[in-house]
Amino acid sequence: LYSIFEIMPAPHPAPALPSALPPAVWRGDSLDTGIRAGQPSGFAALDALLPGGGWPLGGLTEILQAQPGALEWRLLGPSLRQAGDAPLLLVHPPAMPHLPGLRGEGLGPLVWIDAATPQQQLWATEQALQSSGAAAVLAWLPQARPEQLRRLQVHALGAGMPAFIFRPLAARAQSSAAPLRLLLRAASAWQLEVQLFKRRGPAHAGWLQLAAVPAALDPLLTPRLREIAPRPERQPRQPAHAVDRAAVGL
Amino acid sequence: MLWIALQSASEPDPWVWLALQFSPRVARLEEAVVLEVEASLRLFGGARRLHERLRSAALEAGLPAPQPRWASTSRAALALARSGRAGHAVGARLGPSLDALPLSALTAVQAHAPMLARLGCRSLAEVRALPRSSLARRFGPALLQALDQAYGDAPEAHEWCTLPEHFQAQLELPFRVDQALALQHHAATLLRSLCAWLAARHFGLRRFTLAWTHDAMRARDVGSGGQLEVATAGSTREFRHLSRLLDEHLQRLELAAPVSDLRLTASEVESLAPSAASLLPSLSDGREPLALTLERLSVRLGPEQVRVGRLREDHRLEAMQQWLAWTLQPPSQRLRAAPGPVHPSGPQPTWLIDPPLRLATQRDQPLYRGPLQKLLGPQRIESGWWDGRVQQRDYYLFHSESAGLLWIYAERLPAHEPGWFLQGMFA
Repeated sequence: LYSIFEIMPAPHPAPALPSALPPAVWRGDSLDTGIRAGQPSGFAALDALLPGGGWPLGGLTEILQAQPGALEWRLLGPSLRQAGDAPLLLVHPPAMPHLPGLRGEGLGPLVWIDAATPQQQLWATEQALQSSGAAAVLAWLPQARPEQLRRLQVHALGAGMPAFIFRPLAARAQSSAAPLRLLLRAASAWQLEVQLFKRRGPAHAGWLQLAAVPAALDPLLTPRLREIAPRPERQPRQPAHAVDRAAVGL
Repeated sequence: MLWIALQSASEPDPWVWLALQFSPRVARLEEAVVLEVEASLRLFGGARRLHERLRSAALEAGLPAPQPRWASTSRAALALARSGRAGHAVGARLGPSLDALPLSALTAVQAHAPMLARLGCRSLAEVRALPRSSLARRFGPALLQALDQAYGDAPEAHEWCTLPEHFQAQLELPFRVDQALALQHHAATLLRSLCAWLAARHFGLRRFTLAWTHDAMRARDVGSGGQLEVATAGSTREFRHLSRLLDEHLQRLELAAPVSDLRLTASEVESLAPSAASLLPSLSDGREPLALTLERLSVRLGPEQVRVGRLREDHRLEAMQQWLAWTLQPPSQRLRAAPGPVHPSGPQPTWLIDPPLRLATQRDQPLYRGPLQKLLGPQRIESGWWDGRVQQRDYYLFHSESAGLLWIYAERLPAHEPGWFLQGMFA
């Protein structure tokens, strides 16, 4: 054994890879580049982390949050604003969409599809994903099961538009076929926090903070109001592992 | 002139409708349907392509594969079809291929077949070789005229077929059907002929009725039949869409008694220009257009469940918008952004809670999933004195750690119950 240690070369820094690698060679520390470009999210910091530089166009994006209806438009508004006249399809939203407010966010026409049972919600989402001409599909599916999501993902592959599925935090423990999954929570009144816990490429462990003030409130805020940080007691404690983080989010 | 003869063993009407999709000059000639296609030949990309389209259209309409025969006169085309000879090459001379045909190929000649046979004539060429004057004297002018018309020496006159003004088709089922879904297959046959009728008349369908008659062996309290009214969101004549729509309706239907026959009526049609064909592959790559998807969703989920909103000029939050069934909207406005005030008074939340949620209070301050922090306010709304729904409210922006930014009002009207209410969320 001793001799083997003697023979082994001393660890030395890995030789620098040639810069001109063919594009097919994937580096472990970079995001997968073989994916097609996404739709820019409107947040430069988030685009840098998303594979494809934006919300994926051919696949589900699963957004987990503790309270449905709390943060959706602030996260998605900057991206959906680019849709223009194509309508958004909302399947089973948690409350009544308020059009004057959504127009203030710059969002275009939308169709509100309500369905009573989980089966109908899934069916409506599936049909919406198969149609053409919509800007995006947003579906609130709190009861969807993994195999049902896999089916939706297959339909989303050819959809050519972003498809967002909103689910509760408890869904994090379930497996999911969605290629992009993220946790969404509020860091303060005017800031969102996002963690991409599943994406194509290396995992993203930390929380990404995004400044997002509702467009309707932006002109009304005073500098003092902008500084409120309502979670001081949670700042010093750094969650140690994934389970703990989920607990904080709850 | 280029004629196609389609021999129809069965009812000729479906063949006429099929032929009318390709040319307006369609006529019935004895047992066959003939159509003149020279002007349309280039549109359809040549004789071979037209033949293929004719064949596929016939199969789609549920008809047997046709054996069309081509010739430069309609009687010659029919004669070729009757004799079962291979098709006449387009552009070749007509004479040689007609000469060899037997006497039975032309009805006027066949009528005198015994006499002609005794004269030693076996083919059309041999009849034509006889002196014309004695032919006319002995057999009458009809024989000579038919021969001349077949060979293109005399003009042909046809009475062109037109389509009925209204579509109604009936189908007697081969057996009694108890299940609504089992009607699907039979209704599809009727739908196909409806689509052919629509295509030939350049119409789109807005509404059709499928009616059925119950079998005579039925319970005493069951009526004689029933009907299903199906409306389409936009005018269409696409078979696939119509049949999917009908399927959705049939799935929700329960038959009171077994059904013995079906009737299909086009109750509302309007003219529909076909969409222009594109040189480039279509961007939608064959996926269903949004309007059709929403129409099917409205059928399955109920029309009230698929909604679009309209903005209204009002200061009261709940009166600012109106949600209407998507199918009730005029087609031009369905997917348009709602017109209305661009800058409503004051900040507007993105979600509305309807009806407003009454909040618990603690020392006169509202509570919602824990304590709330007041950020902005008040914004006072006093409105609605004209329609009896008077409001006097002070709106505040509250922040909740768990629920985000909330739009909460305090009721000010003495007549109403005082308190704090959650009405919106800034998501």
